[in-house]
Amino acid sequence: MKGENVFSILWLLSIVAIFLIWPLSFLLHNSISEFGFYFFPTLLIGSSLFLFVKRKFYWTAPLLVIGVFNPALALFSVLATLANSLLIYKNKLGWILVVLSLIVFVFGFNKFKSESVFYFDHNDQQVALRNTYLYPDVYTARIFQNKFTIYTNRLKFNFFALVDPNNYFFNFHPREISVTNQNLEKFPFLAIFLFLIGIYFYQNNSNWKFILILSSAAILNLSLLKNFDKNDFILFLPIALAIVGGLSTLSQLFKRWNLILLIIFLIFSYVQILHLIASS
Amino acid sequence: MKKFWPVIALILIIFLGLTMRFYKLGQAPAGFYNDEAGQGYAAYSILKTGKDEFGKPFPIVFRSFADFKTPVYIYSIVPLIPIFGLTTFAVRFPSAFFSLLTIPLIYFLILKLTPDKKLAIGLSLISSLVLAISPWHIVFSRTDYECVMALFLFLLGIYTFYLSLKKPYLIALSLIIFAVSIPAYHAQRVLTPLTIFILFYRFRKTLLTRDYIKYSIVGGVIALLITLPTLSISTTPGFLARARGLNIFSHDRQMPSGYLAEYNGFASSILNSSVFLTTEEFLSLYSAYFSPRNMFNLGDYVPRSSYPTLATFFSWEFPFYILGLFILIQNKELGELRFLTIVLLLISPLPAAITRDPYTTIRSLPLVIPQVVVIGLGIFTVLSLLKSRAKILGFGILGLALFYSILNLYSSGIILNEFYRAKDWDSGIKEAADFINTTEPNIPVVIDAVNQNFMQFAFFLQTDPQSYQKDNFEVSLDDYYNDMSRIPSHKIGKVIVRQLNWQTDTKKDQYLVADNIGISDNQIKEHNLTVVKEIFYPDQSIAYRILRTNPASK
Repeated sequence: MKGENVFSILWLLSIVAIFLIWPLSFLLHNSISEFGFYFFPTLLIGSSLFLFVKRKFYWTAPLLVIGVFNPALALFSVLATLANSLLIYKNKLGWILVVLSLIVFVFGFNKFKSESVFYFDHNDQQVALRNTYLYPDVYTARIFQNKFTIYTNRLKFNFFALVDPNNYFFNFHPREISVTNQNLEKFPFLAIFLFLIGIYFYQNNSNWKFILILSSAAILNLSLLKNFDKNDFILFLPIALAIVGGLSTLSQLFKRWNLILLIIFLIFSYVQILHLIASS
Repeated sequence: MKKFWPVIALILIIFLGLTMRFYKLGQAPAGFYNDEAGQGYAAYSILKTGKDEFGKPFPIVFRSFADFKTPVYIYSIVPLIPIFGLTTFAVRFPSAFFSLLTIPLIYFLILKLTPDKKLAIGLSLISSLVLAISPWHIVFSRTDYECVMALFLFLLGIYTFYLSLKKPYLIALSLIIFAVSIPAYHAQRVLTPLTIFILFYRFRKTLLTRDYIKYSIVGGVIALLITLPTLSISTTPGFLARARGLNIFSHDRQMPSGYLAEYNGFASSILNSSVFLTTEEFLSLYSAYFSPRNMFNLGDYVPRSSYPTLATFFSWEFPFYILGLFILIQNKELGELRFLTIVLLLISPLPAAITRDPYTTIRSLPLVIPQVVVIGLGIFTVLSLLKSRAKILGFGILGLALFYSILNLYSSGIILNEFYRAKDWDSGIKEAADFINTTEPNIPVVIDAVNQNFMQFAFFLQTDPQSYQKDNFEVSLDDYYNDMSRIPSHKIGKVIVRQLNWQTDTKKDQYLVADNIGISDNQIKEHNLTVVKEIFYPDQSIAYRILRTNPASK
């Protein structure tokens, strides 16, 4: 019993460490009002999770508010409600949510567009123009030097940054993004192992559909933004849940080594938290 | 015909790889980096005198710029010089040649290791194709980088090892090839022994039988004899030069990332704990080699290790990579291929991940093999899931993707690379050397020493190695591997490469050669120099200026 209590406490401390770092890091590097602005969507996602766990088909409803609150993330709501209606709860009422999310997206489209990768940059155009003169003929040049390539390069840059594990576990280290990104610490770095275990044994996680839909929708929306930094906070809950899933699976896979592994994880995580506070 | 289609397909893939590697070899990149010149000139010196440029007979590692280059590649250039001359083509040829040989080697290796024959043929062809057009493999194949040859030898060692499981005598050959791969490149010093250990442990029951022991002993003895010279200098400063400065466990020159200098005492022992910071640093560097951002978007940060706008893999390969990884881990029916691919995935980044450089593709080149296999597995899986018309469409789309990728390689590797990376490749030195050859023999030439350029001038001026050895004593032969001192100037015939001296150099009738930082427009006016020739980079900025002094005006 005593051992179980100790284990429970260690487990709880691990969960705290997983959920603490990103919000703490955000708060230490930004104002409270900014924290509130970017944290609010996470609260709505938390409400969605609550409804998802309760098996409500309308679990994506709170996400519509995200689109109203921050039009830059309106596409996220559309994609999430659409995925829900196509893959999980295939009923007509679910499609009403899709329509509503589309309406929200349309109303906020101008704001979304102004924050998207589809902006004119004189320097980018000049580079593309200069490069066309390097090719032997204009047709070959135009395949690689055109407006479409400019936009897709920006999109690819965002997308691959968002699917980079070093983003979440090592604050992009060793290749931090300069100027446009705060390179915040997001999760304990040892949690990368838990995350990978969580992804591989995804079926052990009862929330895997929730995690998959929300993270995919978030990554697609964020990839289209001029600067995804801070807005990527909507990925906090899905990734944290994946890590917790990995922690749970690990405890089943390595029952004998559970305690030792937990202690190691805790030591490194709390030193990291202290380091984060000390360096801010 | 049906029986021969894999062979025909392989020949076509090899031909594609040949084109990617040999098209304009020696001309693109147009420049010639100092390391390449260093290796080429050392080979020339060995050919002419049996000694390197420092007078050391047949060195075990080559002193060069006190960076002690691995010897195998340099010795491979020696027989090519009488055939191709002392040219950039000759120096780069071994890289391209062994890179090309790696394509059929990976085909046969996958064919050997995969139990399911249908999967084996399809997967080996697709993986060979992915390697044939791999930007990562190609960028090092077209220039003088030892890592490509080392990778071929390493892979050949693995292949002969697996062949030896049916033919015991081949174990001796495998060990010998592994032994040759160790001095072929720095990364193999870590990777090869580790791989040998893993393979021998896995197959220990077979290898400890009578049939194998005698061949293992023979092969082991020969391998030891090959490795002995390298082992004999393994504790010298020269041998350890690279490892010492770069590794993350050494804090002599640089504290670990995240070190907080403002804290002392107990707080510092917690916050700056070496275990904590080094573990985090190592894991971040190791993880970087699997990062989709590095693999499919950014590529290597070093201009000479990548092509503009291209990463190590094409971005369209990303979904196949993820799918392939998933299948690799799940599908135990992949047999020995699964084991080897996972092992190579895990150990290949190690030599690179223990150095501070973020995502260095030259040190982690062996990782290209398992990652190519994973991508091939993803592509094969998708194609095999498609039926009839969808399959034809799938092949069509793949064909288009391949065609676009090849065009992209041409665009980035030939066109954009020549424009944007000319300076990184030290373009312009050959033209400067050609002009120097046309100047009056009795008028000296002083070249501003920058970035070890003396070696490139020695190469292009085809300086007699015997005179070079006589005129440029650096260290005694006894201290060849121990003394790290460098001489500040180098004499190459009538040419001297050193820092310009504005007090004395303008008072003699001679030519001065420098870039526009070495000799500015103001200095030209101030010292009344005459611009004889200007050599430009493709972007029209000045690479080199050749000027004549006017001592009469002083």
